[in-house]
Amino acid sequence: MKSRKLNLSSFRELGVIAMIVIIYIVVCIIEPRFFSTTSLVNILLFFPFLLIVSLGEMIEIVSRNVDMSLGAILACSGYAAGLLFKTNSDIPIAAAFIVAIALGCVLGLINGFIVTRFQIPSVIVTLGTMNIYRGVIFILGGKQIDNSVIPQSLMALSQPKESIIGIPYSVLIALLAAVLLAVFLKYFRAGREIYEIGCNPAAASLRGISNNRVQMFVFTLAGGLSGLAGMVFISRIGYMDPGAAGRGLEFTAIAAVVIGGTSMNGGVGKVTGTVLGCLLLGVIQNAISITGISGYWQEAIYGIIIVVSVIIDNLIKNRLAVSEAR
Amino acid sequence: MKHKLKINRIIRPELTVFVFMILSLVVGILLSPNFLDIRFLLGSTIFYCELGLMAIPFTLLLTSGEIDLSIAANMSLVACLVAVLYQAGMSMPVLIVIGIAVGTLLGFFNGLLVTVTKLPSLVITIGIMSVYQGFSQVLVGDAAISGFPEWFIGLDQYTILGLIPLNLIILIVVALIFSFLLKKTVWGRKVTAIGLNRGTALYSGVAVEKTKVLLFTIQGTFCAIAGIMTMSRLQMAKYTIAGDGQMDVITMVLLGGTAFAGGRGSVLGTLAAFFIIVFIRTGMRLALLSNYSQMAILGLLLIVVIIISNGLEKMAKKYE
Repeated sequence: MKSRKLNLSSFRELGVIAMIVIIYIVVCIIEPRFFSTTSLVNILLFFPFLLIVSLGEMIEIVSRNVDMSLGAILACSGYAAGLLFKTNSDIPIAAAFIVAIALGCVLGLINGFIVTRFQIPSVIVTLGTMNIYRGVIFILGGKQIDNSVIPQSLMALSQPKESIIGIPYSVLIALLAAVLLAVFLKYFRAGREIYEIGCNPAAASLRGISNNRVQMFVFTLAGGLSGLAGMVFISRIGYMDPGAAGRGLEFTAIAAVVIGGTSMNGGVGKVTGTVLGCLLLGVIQNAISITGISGYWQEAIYGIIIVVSVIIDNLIKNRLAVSEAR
Repeated sequence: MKHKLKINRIIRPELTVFVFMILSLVVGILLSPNFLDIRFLLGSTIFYCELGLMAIPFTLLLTSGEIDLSIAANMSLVACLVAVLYQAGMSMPVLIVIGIAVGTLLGFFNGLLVTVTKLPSLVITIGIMSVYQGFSQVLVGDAAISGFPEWFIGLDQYTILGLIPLNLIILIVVALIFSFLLKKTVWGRKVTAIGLNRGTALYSGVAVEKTKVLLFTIQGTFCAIAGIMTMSRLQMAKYTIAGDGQMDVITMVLLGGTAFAGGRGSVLGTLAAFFIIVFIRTGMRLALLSNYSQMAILGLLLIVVIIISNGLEKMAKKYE
């Protein structure tokens, strides 16, 4: 019984891996330039901040919530860090990281508080706070944080050349976050509780798990992750346009999470799946730009592949469910 | 007993939104004397009529427990297609029909995709949103296409009695029709039943899938109409013509007291929310607040209204 379950879960991710490999090979045949370490690094560079936000979105979806405000939290905490650099140019990067993550946690906590205290669906709350958080940036000033303000040592985090092993540090930060989250979700009581309230909130509360406490925790964690993503965003992009930063990122993150096999009904989802989902989107993005397809086609192809992979993934899931039942 | 019944009748989720509508009007009048000018006030509705028009069928869609995030993308795709074909030399009246047909088909396609794959529509339509938005970029690129015939442009300039914009009349008439459909017809009650409990509706003999496809199709039709009306108002078409319209529409519908999970919907509530948004946006524009501060205030309003209407609902239940 146990081995079959293991098979099932590894097979679920095989679907995404297969898509990644197929697209990669096809593009390599069309355009041999794609087969190089540079393009691999480009693929990896695509995903640090998307991955970190997706991890946050994943735990939210696992706990039966959806968060639309993560992109705005990213912008807000990134902007706060930018302001910090602007007022004091020799502030240590670590301090900026702490400020951004702490601010993210607070904004996430506000979401969680409203959701649990007033029992309003998280989509509505976060749709509202999305606008509020972005508005707050503009009340704080709202001018673009320029390239000149951001310290070189922060930008270096996203430069492959600056890293000892050739992979940019920002990618490693994202992967580290993923590993830590995976360990936390699998081996820690608080992590298992997230799945439990996602699977069956009523049963979880009968077992003495406080739904509200866990949900508050999930929102706070997702907010903190988005704060971290804000820092990675600055380091990657090099400037902060408070109106555009992270706009619509929630949607991409939801797509990555769902492609990675997380169920919108809650209770099911793995970190490895989410990493693969982000990787797939990264491969697609880079494949489009390197094959010289007009930039105008980019979004259309992007959307088509998202729809197709979600449908294929669902077909595999249904097929597996049928064979399981037999 | 009679007394209690009356209270139940008065305290309804939509009540909050009507109160807020009047409040926002009062605040607007206090902030600016322009608000007393009925012509100005009605005239300011034209910028949002297209969104309102999409929000009406959206209310029914959400009531049935489904959501369509691709509405704004559908709207801009139709607008871009019509513009490109017009440049290619086709005549405008034919194109209007084609545009509405295409929008309807796109909506129908969404409905099929959602019902056949049985995937959550939130996820499917995120992908579809990119597809439609992408195709409109492919069609027109960065260009803004203009030069439409004289009779086509400026639909928003027509008024009834020189006072009420034609677009607003269209919106109100459509809202009344849909409100009647939702509240007073068997079909409308079926839509609500699907949203309340899909399984129960299915076993009670409601054609769940068919109804859902129909709702998506109607949504598509209105997206197309909204797209063409926007073209007429802006006198041009480009791929950003609809912007993040889906967000405004969702805000409008939720503000109007429709439950996100389905099963409860009010078209008149949506209409009232439409006026709230117009009043507040206009008021804030007069107060020279930036677009982002306007959005922050609307976001806050959304949360506050829902907290209050949930509280009212609990109160109403207590009386029962």
